[in-house]
Order: sequence, then C-alpha cells, then structure tokens
Amino acid sequence: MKIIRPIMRKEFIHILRDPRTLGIILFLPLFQLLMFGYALSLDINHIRTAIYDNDKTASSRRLAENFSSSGYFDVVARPNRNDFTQRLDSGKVKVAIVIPKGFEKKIDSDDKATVQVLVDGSDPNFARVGVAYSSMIISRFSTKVTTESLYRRGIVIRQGIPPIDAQVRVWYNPDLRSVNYIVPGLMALIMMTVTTINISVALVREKERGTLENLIISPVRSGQLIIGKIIPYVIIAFFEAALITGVGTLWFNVPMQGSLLLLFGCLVIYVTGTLGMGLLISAVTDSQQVASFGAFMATFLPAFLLSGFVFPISSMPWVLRLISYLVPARYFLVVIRGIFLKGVGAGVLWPDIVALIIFATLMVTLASLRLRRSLA
Amino acid sequence: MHKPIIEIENLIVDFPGVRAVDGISIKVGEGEIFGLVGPDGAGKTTTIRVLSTILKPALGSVKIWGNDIVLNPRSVRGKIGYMSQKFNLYGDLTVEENLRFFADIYGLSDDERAKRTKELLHFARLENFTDRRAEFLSGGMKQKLALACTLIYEPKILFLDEPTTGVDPVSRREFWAILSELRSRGVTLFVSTPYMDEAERCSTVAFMDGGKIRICDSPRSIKASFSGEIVELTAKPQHEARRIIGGLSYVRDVEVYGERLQLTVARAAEAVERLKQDLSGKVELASVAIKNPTMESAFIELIKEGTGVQGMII
Repeated sequence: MKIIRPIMRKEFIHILRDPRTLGIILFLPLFQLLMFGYALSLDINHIRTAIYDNDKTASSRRLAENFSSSGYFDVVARPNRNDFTQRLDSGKVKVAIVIPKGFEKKIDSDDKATVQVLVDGSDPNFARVGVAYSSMIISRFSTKVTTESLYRRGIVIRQGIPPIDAQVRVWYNPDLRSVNYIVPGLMALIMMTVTTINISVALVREKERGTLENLIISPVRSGQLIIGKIIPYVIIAFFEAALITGVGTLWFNVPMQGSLLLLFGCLVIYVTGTLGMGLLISAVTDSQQVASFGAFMATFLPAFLLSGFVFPISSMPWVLRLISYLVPARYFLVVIRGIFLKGVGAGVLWPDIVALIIFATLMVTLASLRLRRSLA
Repeated sequence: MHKPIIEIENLIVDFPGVRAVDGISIKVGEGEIFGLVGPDGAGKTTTIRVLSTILKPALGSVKIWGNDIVLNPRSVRGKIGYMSQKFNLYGDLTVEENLRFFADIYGLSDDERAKRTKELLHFARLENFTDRRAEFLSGGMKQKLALACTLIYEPKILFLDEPTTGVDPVSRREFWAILSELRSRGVTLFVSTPYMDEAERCSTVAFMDGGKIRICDSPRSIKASFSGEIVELTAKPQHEARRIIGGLSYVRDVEVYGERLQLTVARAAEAVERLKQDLSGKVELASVAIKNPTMESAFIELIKEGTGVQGMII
C-alpha cells in the first residue's frame, strides 16, 4: 500500500494535467449518451404515409381517419391521382394506403372489401412496424364495421367480436420505451470503451518515454504497478457512472427500480475487468496509437454488436454466440438492465456477477503476469 | 584497485542482426569513477542497461556485491541508481513531484524525504524551480533533476549513460563537480561518455569500440602507453603543409584540428628540427611546439592499429 499510493497519486496528476484524457473522460460519455439516447431510438412512429381515397365516402373517410389519428402514421398526402409508385420510389412516403372505388358499397352489400397497403421494404424495421400497425388498424376497423352491421340487423353479441380477447400486460417497461432499454445498455458500452481506451495508453506511454525503466529498477512489483494504475480509473469510472445514471433517470426518465449500491458494486467489478484488459493491451503493445486502436477494437465493436446491447444474442449464429461469452459487457448488461428495469437483486443476477468477477480476476492477473516479464 | 564490487565476465548481448556487446570483462572497484568511453554504437548504452538490470544479456555473468544480477535482479534493485541518456522523468510532474514520487516508491519516510529533497534541490541548484514542470526545464536542469531523483534513495552504485550529452559546457562542468562530490562520499560511479575531457576525470577508463573493450586502465597509464610523441604546428597554406608532411618518413600520423596540425612522431625534439628544415621556403611556419600525449591521441592510435597495444587488450 505504501508503494501503491504514490503510483495512484502520480496517475491522477497525469490524468488531470492532460487535457486530451480529461476531455475523453468528461465529454465523450456525455456525448455518447445524448447521441445514442436520441438517435438510437427503436421506437417507430410518425411513419410518412399517403392515403389514396378513391371511394370518397363516409366509410373510406372513417378508415383514413383511423390511420391519421393512430399516432403511428403521419398522413402527409391525400393525392387524387394514383401516383404511389413515384412517391414510394422517391422515398417521400414509406406507406401508401389505397382505398378502391366502391369500398363502402362492398361493405354495405356484405361483400369482401379490400384495402391495398403498400409498404417500402427497403428498411425492414420500418416496414415490419408499418405492416403490423396497418393490419391492426384495418382489423379493428373491420371488427367495428361487422359489429355495427350485425347490430343494425338486430343481433347483439355481448362478448364482442372477436370472441377471444388477449389481455396483454407488458412488465418492467410497460410503455415499451426503447430508451429505457438503451440507456442502461449505453452505460455498459460507455464504461467499457472509456476505461479501456484511457488506461491502454497509460503503460505504453511509460515505455515510449522511458519512464518504465525507472520503475523496472525500483522495488515496485508488477502487481503493485497494475493496482496503482487501475484504482484512479475505477474512481473516475464511478463518477462517470453516477453522471450517466443521473442523466438517464432525470433527463431520459429511465426508471431506476433496483439498488444503487448493488449497481455500483457490480460496476466496480466490471470496470476492474475492462481496465485490466486495457493494461494487458498496453503491456503487449509498443506505441500509444497501436494501444488505443487495439483497445477500441477490443471494446467498442464487441460491446456494441456481441453483447446484446441492441441485437439479441439468442438470434445470433452459434459462432458469434460463443464469442459473446468472452465479452464482459454481455454480463454487465444483464446485471444493469435487471437492476434498472426489473429491480431484481443479487439473488437473481449472481451467475452474471460471478462471470464478471472471473473476467476481472483473469484480466488483472494476465496483465500483471505479462508486465512481470518485462520487469524481471 | 579496491575490492571489486562490479564483476563482468564475458558479457554478450545480441540484438536482431547485431552483436551489441561482444564478450567484455570488466572489474570495477569500490569508490571508483569508472569511465566507459567510445564512439556512438560502441555498445556503451547496452552495457549500462545490462548493469542496471533493465536488459538481460545473451551470455556471461554480471555480479554486483557478489550477487548474480542476471539470475536475481531483485537482489540489487533499490540499491543501485540508473540515469539514462534520454530524459526519462515524468514531464507533466513538477520538479518536487518527481522527487517525491521517487522517494515514495523507494519507501522513504516523510522526514527522510523532506530532508533529502531539500538537500538535493540545493545540491542540484534547483531550489527556485520546485514548482516547474520537468518538461519545461532546460537540458542541463533536466539532467540534474534526473540525477537528484536517482540520488534521493542514496544508491551505493550509480550508472550514468552519457549524462552530459547535449548539455552546455558550464552545466557539464557543474555536473562533474557533483559527481566528484558523490565519489568523495563513497558512491561508486560507472559513467559512459563520448567526451575525452570527461574520460580524463575518471579513475579508470575503458575504451569500447565495436562491442569490445580495447583497453582498460587509468588515464595516466593509457597516456603512457602511447608509443610516440606529439608535435603541434600551424602553417600557411595549411593544405600544402599537410601534403608535404604526409610524405615525410619520420611522421607516423598527421591529424587536422582546425588551424592546427597534430603530428605523431617517434622523438619530438628531433622531429621539430627536421620539420623546420623540410618546410622552410615552402610554407610559412607560424608556430611549432611539443605537446603531451592526450587520451584522445592514445585512442586514435589504438583504433588505427586495429588490435591495440600488446598486453593491454582485454
């Protein structure tokens, strides 16, 4: 401890006096949080839509009204000519609803009426949602039409149509706000990239400048050096996590259901692992550029793609599923989403917490073994 | 020689494609200033890095206080100091913070640290720069700070790799005054330098070239080993004088030093008389004098002979 403290103090001075590191530490997380928080919204609404009402009757207008009032579709055009090919080609609208002539007449004469829904499938995500919402709106509309027509004939169906009603309740995130899902995930992603990239230059810089030689001939041991370098970054990570939690709950209104104490406890384990990985990268590289690039590749892409941050692990091919076990963000995501959204505790999350502990121990040990080779 | 505290035996260090140190053996006595002299690329830095336990050699043994430092580097760490040729302190830390860091990692108590810091700042004449960041110090001050950081834990042996390269002449003299004082306190110093005047200040000098030690002795003996005598002259036009002298049978060697020509001859007094005769009427002889041989002339002779003086080769 007597030797670890001066190393920590020195490391803090390096961080505080280097505007670049300080900038990365303070602004990058905030920037990433705001950018991803807004841009990466998976909620799809305001789909630009054109409605071609070729019938111009009360029924056709009612159906059109159902679309425009749903909140999902922005009816931006009601053209008189059937120019939907042009509008879809040019991307001016994503969905075109075509109500044919004689629509009302067919309904009234118990004939099968059709409505054409044209969806731009070049963005499958949009298209899928467009198809689902429009089918839902049309099916509700036809239920209403059927009920009314039966009522006019004197038939009252008390249980309603259709006879079975699915009582769907969404737990943990009842409004299905994707920001509730994204923000805790972002914390895992940001903590991993910022810590690893920053510390990855911390050791290689000492190699480049020759200052490591002074440490080599001193009584400092590799483990002491590793711990002395990690602790300041853990403390910084702590403040960053507090910042993200604050912005997430107060600005994005993400509910925090579980224990803050457990969250920050797990965070310390998580960043100890990612910092150990950063030092390991630092120990095997010889220049700051290579180290920070390596750290970026080793953290950002896997944490973004293979952690389950956006893309569910269960739908990946088995090779990627196997690789994802090596990505610590995978475990932390389960923990942080569990704590934030479900409010569950260590009793449920322990397998992932154990995985994080194993990862942290492994990384710190590997880093100090690798460093010992250059110190001995 | 006092009892040897550094014993190097048949040390070999290889880098990819180069044998940087080629089987050297040296003994250094306690309390010496041992100078390692030689041109760039001779292997001086590599030798010092091995002695400071930074680099592992390919072959050979190095013992310090009888401990094999190749097998067990930790046995001497904390008791030896190393100062690299390149500035290797933390540039973003101030003078005082650098000193404090070194004091702390060597486990000095707060009292010891305060006392030693005050002493060393005075010693290195850095009292007025305690709050300046090391990167903004002048070259000479940087070297003195590096030395101060090395001295704060009072190592008994100091390895200095070209400590005055790139430092102005005044600071160089100051730096050597500090080294002399350290020696008087009983610290053993192992210094590499490309400067001959610095080599003359050492108690023992080893001349290194091409990874080998060519000669290792006291400056006085090395100069005495020089077989010839030196005559120095100035003449106009110089190139004409040089051409004539180059053809004289009794002149072994001629070197140009600015305006002066330095001649190596067998007997200087006799040569002066003959030169006056041989040059008269052809060039204007401005001055001619007999000089004492310097270390430089001895080394140049050694390099030119290739293998050096018999019996002196190690």
